[in-house]
Amino acid sequence: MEHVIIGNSAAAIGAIESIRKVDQNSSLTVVSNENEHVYSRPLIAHYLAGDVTEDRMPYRPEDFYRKNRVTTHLGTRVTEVDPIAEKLCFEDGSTLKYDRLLISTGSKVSLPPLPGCEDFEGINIFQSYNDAKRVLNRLEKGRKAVVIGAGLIGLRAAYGLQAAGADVTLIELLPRIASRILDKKGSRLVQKILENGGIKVFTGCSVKEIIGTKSDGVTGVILGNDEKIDSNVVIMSTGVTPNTTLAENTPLEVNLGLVVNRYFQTSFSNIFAAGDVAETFDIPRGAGMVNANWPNAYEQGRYAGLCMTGEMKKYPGSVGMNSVSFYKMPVISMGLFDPETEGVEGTEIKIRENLKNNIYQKLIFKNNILKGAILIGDIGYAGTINDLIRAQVLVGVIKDSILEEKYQLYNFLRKKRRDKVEGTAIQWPETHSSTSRYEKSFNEETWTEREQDKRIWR
Amino acid sequence: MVLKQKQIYCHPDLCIGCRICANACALAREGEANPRLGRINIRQNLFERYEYQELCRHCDDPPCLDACMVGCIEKDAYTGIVTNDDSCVGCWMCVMVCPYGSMRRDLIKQMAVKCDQCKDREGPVCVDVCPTGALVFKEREDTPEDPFFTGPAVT
Repeated sequence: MEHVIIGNSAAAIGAIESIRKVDQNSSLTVVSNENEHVYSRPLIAHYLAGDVTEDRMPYRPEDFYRKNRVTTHLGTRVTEVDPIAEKLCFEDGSTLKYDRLLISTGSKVSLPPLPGCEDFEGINIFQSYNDAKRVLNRLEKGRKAVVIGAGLIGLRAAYGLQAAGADVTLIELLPRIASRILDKKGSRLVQKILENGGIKVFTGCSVKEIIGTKSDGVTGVILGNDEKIDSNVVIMSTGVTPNTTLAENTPLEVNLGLVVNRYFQTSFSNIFAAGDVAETFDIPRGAGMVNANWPNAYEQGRYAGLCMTGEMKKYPGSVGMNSVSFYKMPVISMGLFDPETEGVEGTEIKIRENLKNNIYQKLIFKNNILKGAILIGDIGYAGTINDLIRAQVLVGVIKDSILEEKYQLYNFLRKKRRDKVEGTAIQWPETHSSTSRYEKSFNEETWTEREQDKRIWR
Repeated sequence: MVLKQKQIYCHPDLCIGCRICANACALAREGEANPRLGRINIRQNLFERYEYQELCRHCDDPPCLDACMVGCIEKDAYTGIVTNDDSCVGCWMCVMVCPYGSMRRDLIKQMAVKCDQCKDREGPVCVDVCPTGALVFKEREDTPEDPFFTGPAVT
């Protein structure tokens, strides 16, 4: 059997590892347009910051391909997929037959129609290892940087640039930063954390033009109010979309991303798609979504690999989740984090905040089922909360206590937990069901100092 | 050949929440008697009389391995032990996905630490020091009845 994988990142590696776990004999080929050994994309911000050296960039050891007997075609671009003849066409005209194909091409950056945004040296997107290297080279010319677009990539890039010693300005068109991963209060808090760290943040601010010269490259950015900001580096992080160019002119169905079923099959049963390019079932929303992040991509690749070998394992679905850390302040958001903006009705929200210590936690319930969470500053129970979102169990009884110090669910092992929370298998002891103990205010400013101390330590 | 995987089991009724295991773990691994740094941790509620032992299950398909964006978490194909190394950058992706809460955060080094069943030692240190015998190190029974079973989740 000929397995061919397009792309060389999280989903591809997950697929290779799971294929080789069950199938040692069939041939495996990886095609990628990047000429690098597999590396971690989220890590390029850390590379920029200098936390991670070059020798730690590879995601898997150097002999990974040899050990797993993978043929690699790195640095070659696939121009066309022919699902009828079951072959790929490359740039140079050669073709490659496949029996099972996995498309894991990830996402591409969508650039806005901005005058001058592709003209000068020093204007970068921030997606690949090469981009990070280019930015580092460019920083030697001068230490002023502008990041346009304050999504997750923009925030990471700004943080990395600042740690690399640059003077960073972050510009966002929307009135708040990180609107795709945080709600209003959360993004205000993160903005405060970033500003305290020394990054200048302009929100609700448009960019009119990027200016520069042919010899020096980019020299500055002109804002909507005609203010000019000097810069030697400009990073465009204005959002990404699934890279579905290969599916054009083919019968493969594309909606938000490549549409796949629970076994990662696209419209053709021998073409699979996984990772940031695939539109998968989103558990908390109960609808198709592109959940583009590293953990989901690897997990999807792992399931897709199994399905490619014929061992059909049903994918339970993905939960959009992200975890970043700015100035030692952890930020996690999961699932349906902001029902107001998304227009979801009938939700119930529990908030615990202690803005003095930069702690903000928010849980979103709907029909007594946990749908999403935002945790900033204190991420003690993130794993269990994530598991509750994944399992979609009824949590009516313990709703108030999840954000409490003594999180009752910790009493249970994971498998038993599902029965217990639903209250079917075993009766709750009286103390668990009495809610009066949990009616204490979540506003920590009313707590004693001792209580606050205990809370921060964990 | 693959070894039958071993697992640290804990008997909830025997645990008295003394946290000696966590302390010994931190002492053996970090050289510091601080139960907060232990790879095993006990959460205790005196009023409702329970102890919960946060310890790594060394899952069959570890979610932390899926989530680690550095690639520093790996599962040994022979022993089945899930380990991480010190190339961790502190992104807390593993903390976000571990359903058992067994990824500990070392806030000083900004690194995740996890149990590796004291693989360089003869048996885990927490099992050796447990005064009531609540912790037991034995081969895993791969049946869904096993409370520490981490096979395919019921969906």
